[in-house]
Amino acid sequence: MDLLELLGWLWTNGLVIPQTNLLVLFARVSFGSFGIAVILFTIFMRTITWPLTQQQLKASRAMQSTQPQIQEIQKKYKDPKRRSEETMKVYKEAGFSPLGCIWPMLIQMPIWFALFQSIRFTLGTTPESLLGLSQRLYPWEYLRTAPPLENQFLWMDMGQPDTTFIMAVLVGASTWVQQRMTMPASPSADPQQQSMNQTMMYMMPLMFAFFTLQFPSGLALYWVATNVIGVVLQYFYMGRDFDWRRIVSLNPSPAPAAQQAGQPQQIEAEAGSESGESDSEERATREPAGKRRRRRRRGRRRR
Amino acid sequence: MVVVGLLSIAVLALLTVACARIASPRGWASPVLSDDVLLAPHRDELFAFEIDGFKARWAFPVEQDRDDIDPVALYGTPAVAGGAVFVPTHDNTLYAVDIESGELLWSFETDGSLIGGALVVDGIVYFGSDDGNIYALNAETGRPEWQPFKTGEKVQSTPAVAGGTLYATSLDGFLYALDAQTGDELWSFETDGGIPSPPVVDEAAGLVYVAGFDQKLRAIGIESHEEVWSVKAGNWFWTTPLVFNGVVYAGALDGKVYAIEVDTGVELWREPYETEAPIRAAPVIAGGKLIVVDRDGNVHGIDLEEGIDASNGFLPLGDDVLADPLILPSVDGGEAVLFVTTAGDLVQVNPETLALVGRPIVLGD
Repeated sequence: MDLLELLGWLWTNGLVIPQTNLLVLFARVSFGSFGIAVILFTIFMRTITWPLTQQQLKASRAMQSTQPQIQEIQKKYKDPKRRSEETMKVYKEAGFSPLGCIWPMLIQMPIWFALFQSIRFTLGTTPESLLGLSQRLYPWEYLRTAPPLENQFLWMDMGQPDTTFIMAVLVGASTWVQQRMTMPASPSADPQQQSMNQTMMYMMPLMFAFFTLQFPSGLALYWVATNVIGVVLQYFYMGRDFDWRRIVSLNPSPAPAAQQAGQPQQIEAEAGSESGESDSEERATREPAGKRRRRRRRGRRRR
Repeated sequence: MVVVGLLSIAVLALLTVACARIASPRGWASPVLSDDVLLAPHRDELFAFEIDGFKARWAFPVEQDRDDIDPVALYGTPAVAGGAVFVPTHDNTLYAVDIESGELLWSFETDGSLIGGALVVDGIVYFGSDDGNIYALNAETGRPEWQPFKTGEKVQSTPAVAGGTLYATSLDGFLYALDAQTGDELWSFETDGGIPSPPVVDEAAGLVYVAGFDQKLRAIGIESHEEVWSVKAGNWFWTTPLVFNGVVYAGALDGKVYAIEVDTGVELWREPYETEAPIRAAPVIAGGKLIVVDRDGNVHGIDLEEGIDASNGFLPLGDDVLADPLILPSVDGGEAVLFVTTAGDLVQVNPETLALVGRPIVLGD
């Protein structure tokens, strides 16, 4: 067995077949409904990948908190090498690794791909795929007697793309919301980075919505469910005073008033800096927005 | 963040290109012989040949009708009666075609794909649909003889008629016995899983054999409506059992062939005969042997009594076979077994020697 065969074997037997059996099991306990099975599957996957999600959320929060320093570095150092070194130093001090954000997402990728295959196998939209399913189910009578599964869920055939565009809109919208929640509240000082952020902000939801029109709606349901769970987790983990106006904002660099609590008001800080208010700048970059708002209110009352 | 996003997009784009296509049906309908005409379905076409010399007669549908008729795929074995061929198709429609010319006589549309075959008895065409109904149409006019009988799931098997009773199986796990003239339910029997295999009626033994996803081949009493015996395989049954000399032969998706004595329900062979791959196609008896083809296209000749290899090894056809084989008269006065591969090759095999007869005919060429 060469390496490629081994990888193929591991992919099939370590991911696709277990996921297929899991989906059939969930469908069986939900009276044959494949739609409910996909939702249960999403909850299950979110539960077992929780340590990774938690790591991602921690990394995301750490990234948010280091933004003022990163922006300072970006303004201060023009040499990319030096800038990179200083940035990494800040990350290290904050106990945050950029990889912490990446690899929980990378872990999700094979799950999506394997899920695509599993849905094709499980739903048996053609007699050939139902025949193929017989070779992929574990020899447990409870599973073996589960097919045929109910393809219909709400208005969708789980094995076919949703032609009503509803799922495409839901996938696009939920991806947008989750993306807006994880995106740093303050703009990047690097114009190239800022431009890429802007592109990503529009491209990701659009691409996922486009994929939804090509893939079985079971996969779209997984995307929506996992995004919704992600948004809820993000909301509870990152702070409940999240400014929801950021979600409807089309600009990746939000207006000062719309910035997240706990984030510095960089634009205001820059304005202060220009007028020589060094004390104000110091406070603006160090103090959380919520605390600053409270301080302002106290100041107004004194006046 | 940007890197992750771009990576996601790149990988997903690759995935879209590589495998975004939803699986498309290919079909596995079996060939049929009617007098001097051989009907060989392949993918979404039905080819008619003269049996003498395999001279092509017609193909259905013809190219100019493709805008109106698109069978998508053919799974159900066509039935022939009264000069017409009844073709169940994946596009929900049963077509009645003139056997001489291949011209369309009439069509009848249901609300689901037609995966099972059609059966014609006493001028009535019976067939099931993925809409869960069992239909009975007048063979000449295509008009319903009775209101469709509703089952709880898709009907993907060919019905059987015996003694005025229509027997049909459904993926809801039931065997239904209906009055063939009125469609009224006479009785039913519930199994533990969906039944994709056609029911086989053994009037001499007073039994109906059904086999399905519960991995069991069951004998059900026609009079008692109760299970008389059952045999469990290692995977689903998805084939038409064969009854011969008081023994039921059936292949299963565990790749094994089972032989069960009708009277006792006891397995005839010391152990089931094991092939190389799952078995979808029905077995046939030819040249004094049980001829079985597995999914991978390996043809086995099995000793009927002992259940052992009777041909010194199997014959690999080199392509998958899911359609039931057909026994044809051979040029030397004996018989040949015809196999249709998924690639569309018509291959004849001498059942005694398990050697190829002549050159394969490629359908659609």
